[in-house]
Amino acid sequence: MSHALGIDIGGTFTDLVLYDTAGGASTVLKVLTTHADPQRAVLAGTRHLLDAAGLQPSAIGRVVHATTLFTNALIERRGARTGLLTTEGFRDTLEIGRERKYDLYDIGIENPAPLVPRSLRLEVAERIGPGGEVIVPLDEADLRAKLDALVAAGVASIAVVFLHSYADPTHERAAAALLRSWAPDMPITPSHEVAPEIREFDRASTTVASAYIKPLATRYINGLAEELAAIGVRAPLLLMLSSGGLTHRAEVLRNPVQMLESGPAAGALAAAFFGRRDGVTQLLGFDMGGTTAKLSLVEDGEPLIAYGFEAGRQKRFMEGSGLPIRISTVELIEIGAGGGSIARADALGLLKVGPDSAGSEPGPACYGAGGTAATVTDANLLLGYLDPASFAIPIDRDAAAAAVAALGRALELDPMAAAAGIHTLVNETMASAARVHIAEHGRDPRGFALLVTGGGGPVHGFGVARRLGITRLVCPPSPGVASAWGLLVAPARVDRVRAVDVAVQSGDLGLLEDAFAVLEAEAHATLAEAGTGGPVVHRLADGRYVGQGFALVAPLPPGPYGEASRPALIAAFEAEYRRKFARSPPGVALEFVAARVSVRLPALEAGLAAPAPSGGAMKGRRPAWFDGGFVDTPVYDRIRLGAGERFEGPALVEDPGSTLVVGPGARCLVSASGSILVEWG
Amino acid sequence: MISEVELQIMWNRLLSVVEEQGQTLVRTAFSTSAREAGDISAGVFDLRGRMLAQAVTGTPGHINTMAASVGHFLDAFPLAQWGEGDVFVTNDPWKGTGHLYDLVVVSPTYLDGRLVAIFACTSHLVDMGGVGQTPEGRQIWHEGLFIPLMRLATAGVMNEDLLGIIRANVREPVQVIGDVYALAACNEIGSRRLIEMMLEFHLAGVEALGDLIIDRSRAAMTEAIGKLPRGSWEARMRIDGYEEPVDLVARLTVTADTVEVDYAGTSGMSSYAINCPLCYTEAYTTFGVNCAIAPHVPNNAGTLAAVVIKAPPGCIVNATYPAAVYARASMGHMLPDVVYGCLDQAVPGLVPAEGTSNLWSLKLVAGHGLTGVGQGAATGQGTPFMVMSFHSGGAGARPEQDGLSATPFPSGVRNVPVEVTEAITPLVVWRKELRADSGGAGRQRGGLGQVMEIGSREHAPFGLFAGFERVKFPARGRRGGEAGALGRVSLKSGAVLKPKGLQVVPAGDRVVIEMPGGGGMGPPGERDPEAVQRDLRLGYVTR
Repeated sequence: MSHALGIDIGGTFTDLVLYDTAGGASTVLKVLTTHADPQRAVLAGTRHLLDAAGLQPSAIGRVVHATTLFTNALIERRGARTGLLTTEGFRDTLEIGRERKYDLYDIGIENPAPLVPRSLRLEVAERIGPGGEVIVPLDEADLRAKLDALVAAGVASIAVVFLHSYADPTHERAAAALLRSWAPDMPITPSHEVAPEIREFDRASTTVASAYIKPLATRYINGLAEELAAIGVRAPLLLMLSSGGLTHRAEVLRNPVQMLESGPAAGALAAAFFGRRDGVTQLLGFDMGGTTAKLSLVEDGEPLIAYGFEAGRQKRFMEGSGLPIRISTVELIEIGAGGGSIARADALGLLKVGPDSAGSEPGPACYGAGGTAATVTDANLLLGYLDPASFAIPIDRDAAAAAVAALGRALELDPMAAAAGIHTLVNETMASAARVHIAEHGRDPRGFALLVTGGGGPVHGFGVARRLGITRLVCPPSPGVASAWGLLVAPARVDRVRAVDVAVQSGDLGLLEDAFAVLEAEAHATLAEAGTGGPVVHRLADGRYVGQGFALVAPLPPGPYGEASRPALIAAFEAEYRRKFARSPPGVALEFVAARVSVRLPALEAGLAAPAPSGGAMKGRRPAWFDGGFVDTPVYDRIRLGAGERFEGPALVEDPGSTLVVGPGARCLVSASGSILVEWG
Repeated sequence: MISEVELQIMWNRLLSVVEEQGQTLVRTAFSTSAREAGDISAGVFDLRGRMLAQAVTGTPGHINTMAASVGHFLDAFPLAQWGEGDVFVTNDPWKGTGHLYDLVVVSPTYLDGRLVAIFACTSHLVDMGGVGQTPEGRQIWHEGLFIPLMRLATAGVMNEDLLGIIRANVREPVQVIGDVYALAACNEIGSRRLIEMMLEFHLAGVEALGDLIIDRSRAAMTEAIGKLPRGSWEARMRIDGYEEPVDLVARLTVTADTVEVDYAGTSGMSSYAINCPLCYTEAYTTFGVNCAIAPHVPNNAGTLAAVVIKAPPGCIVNATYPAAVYARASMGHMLPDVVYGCLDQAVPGLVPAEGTSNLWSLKLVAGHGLTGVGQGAATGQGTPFMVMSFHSGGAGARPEQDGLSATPFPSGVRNVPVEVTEAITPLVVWRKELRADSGGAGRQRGGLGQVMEIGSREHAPFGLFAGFERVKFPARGRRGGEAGALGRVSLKSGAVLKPKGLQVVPAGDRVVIEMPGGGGMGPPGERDPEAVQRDLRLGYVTR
């Protein structure tokens, strides 16, 4: 039971990592995802890893899984035929949404199609007011008739969303119980179990998404667990949540939308993990692949958490164009900038890069597969950052040069200026997004380090960091597959929220304490099934000044709360408010509208075998573009760099799958953990 | 000398600076119109008062009016009189955003003691006193407190005299003052970020960058205009008005590098508050033109200069002091439809059909003098309240797509959730659903309106400040498409209510609000049979 297995199924690749918890050695395997039957790649990969390591399946003591399969099912509308039962008068809530044009200037926008079509959204006579008073009793005969209608229409999953159930779920709970008794095999998903928060559209959107993927998730996760057991893996299957926590099957199947962002969450956890190993606890995780870059913020060694996101944006990267999902999730920003991003002249005659991508077919011009548009990868090749010989496929440097030169002519730039422009602009795009993101949290980027992963992170990290005023960069070992590490180091974690209504200056803090006590009891019960160890409890509250609409989530001091806690609660909220918005309004009462708890077990602190110095890591030199001209630059072989070795920029460090680009004047050190630490300024 | 690549980088940066400024305002605002609906604007200007960048958060009526307002501050207060920590303010409808309910706040940015740029922002406040959020005012003095261009702060010290006057004149003083602070704070955030940017790029001023941004945008507009046929086209649209129908008449002329819109022939002013100052007319006209011909060109002084607007003083879209102007959007929101009537003749297949266009915002009230005498439930009159929530009917069909249902255009706001409205009032929204058969038939169908039915949890009357358009004259289709359904406001018990002015819903009754549909595009007979079947199956169309 000395090994841990991590499995991350992405849209293109399935990554597996096997880690020897005693010896610190790890093996990573990347295989193509088998879309028709995703378990197949997992089982084949697991057998392969075990065979290569000469291990029995019983040697695996822990299996952790993340996947984007459910996100893809949402985006591609491949979920179950789902019905919605809702309060009379409100079947169109899901379709009307927030009545907003998400792009002010675009006359041709379309809203995302609701997951449940109008014909499968049926109404039930019932009504509870915001204070819990019954205005119209639940009509059970009506409920039964509507269930029968949905069953007759062939639905395989049912969501139940009644107005004000976040405040009082009596009707929703009663309806769910009746539905379960009448249709025992039908998955029933009531909104108060999924997202007990005010705002009917967001709650309905989240609940329906959960119901929509539930049959698929149940089939897939149970299937995977059984098949792993069948090949002799005895360890229970643990699943990664969007919040970066781990949990067991039953909790995920209760509300599978919790897993939507599990893949990126693993990446953020990996960034936090690699940072901690070198004592870097304030960092920006920067993961760049072929089509997108993702940024995550790590503070005090933990990824920051957000309390909602949008799935499947209609207009990529545009806020408001996706389906709102209200869950705890690792805070991420995704930018349409990757190696395949296309550069062109825009309508104003200016250089523009992305968000459209040449993808893997035809791919960048240098792939020689018919792509003629200049991409970020083409520019990086011409700038000398990438070695044509380091690609897995033959590279056509002339095709890249022709594509970039053609773009240069359109912009009246010489080819190298165009190539440098593409690289610089894409760096600025990412730095800009990061800057806004960090500023929204009231932080200053200069106090952070940048941790680079993915194929593109190490190539662009130095330029991005410099634009942010950051002076430290961390490049972990095998940055191309580093994300999978997050699976191995994740803590068991449960997040719970419930609506409250507490006037902080004058209200009954006993009610607030009661709410937290209920949430913590629930969270502990769930965690008890997932593992052992002393849990750490964090309390947070969604608060606002009376009259404001936006609620800010602020961390609170530990409980239990009584009259004496009042000043500390007010101070905790005000500190967070000022950090974010510069000044707080004078003399306005403060209210808490939701209580949140996050309960987690300590993370597995994995050790990694440190590389031994072997000497002779510098394998050659080549010209690379820095500060307006080519500089003769040493090239290092990452695999032969040992702990304690030092060198200076300019430098290129080649890894299978990525190249770390370091500019002139920077100092590099291979740390005892195997990461390369780069500092300048 | 700024290189091409640097220009693009700094321009992107400037856009992210103002975006953060705008987001800060939305998140810290108190009024529902700002915080839930995004009825705000934010932007950065050079020392000549030219707008260089604006947040895309916000709504056109604010953005484009704000662009002109900074110039008025420069006229009133020569730069020599400005100092670090000064903040300026106004709600002058003719020099701000068109009505008293919006505050414009302008703040200078200093770098090493030198004035380098100006930030401005606007927000729709909870209240500004006067008769309230209704078109029933007859003169500007009925509509609330008028704050001429003045200092809100001097050298960082707030003008407590002004704040005191505001507190004494508004219904929700704490929230209004909270919003005033939010406006000042968002300019401060913008200034901070701009300074960081200028230090990073070693900029001493923003003028050179501004010239490039403005020239480049102006050139892009010239290119877009060059693709239009030269000529002149006229369109007219009749709308409900208040005491009598209003004719909106526009003549659009395409020259080598401008689009000129002249509203000569439009009806005169109303005795009620549906009059529209020229700044707001310019804002929505420019927005309509830009959406149709150059949606990708960032909005700034260069872009705005390409559209030239004229309207005879005293017509309803160039309302003059002291006309009442609270509901100026009743006219302003309709202007893109009229402009599109012209553009459709010039370039077929470019613009959508007419839509509901003017928002169907619900302003619901109860209290002394409005719905009874005496305050509070103790007198049998129910809980007093005032709440505003934005809602929309159907938008017009697009050349290749059906119209969007229950979605605003040209305004950029969003709704207030029913659960939020019910949580802060004793109201019950009994129904909020798409309104079948309200979209104008056509090859592309107009967007559907929606129906809302509202009552009270208390046995007490409540009021509705109505300001609804398209109740008498519908959104027309284009190119053979049919008109959208008319709007209608009635009591559940049967009586039809008036579409403008305070309407009282008796205790125990409910108000039923049927919002209009958008116009259709092209002959209905050309509609794809599959789309016809889908509409029937989903109940968008029942016959």
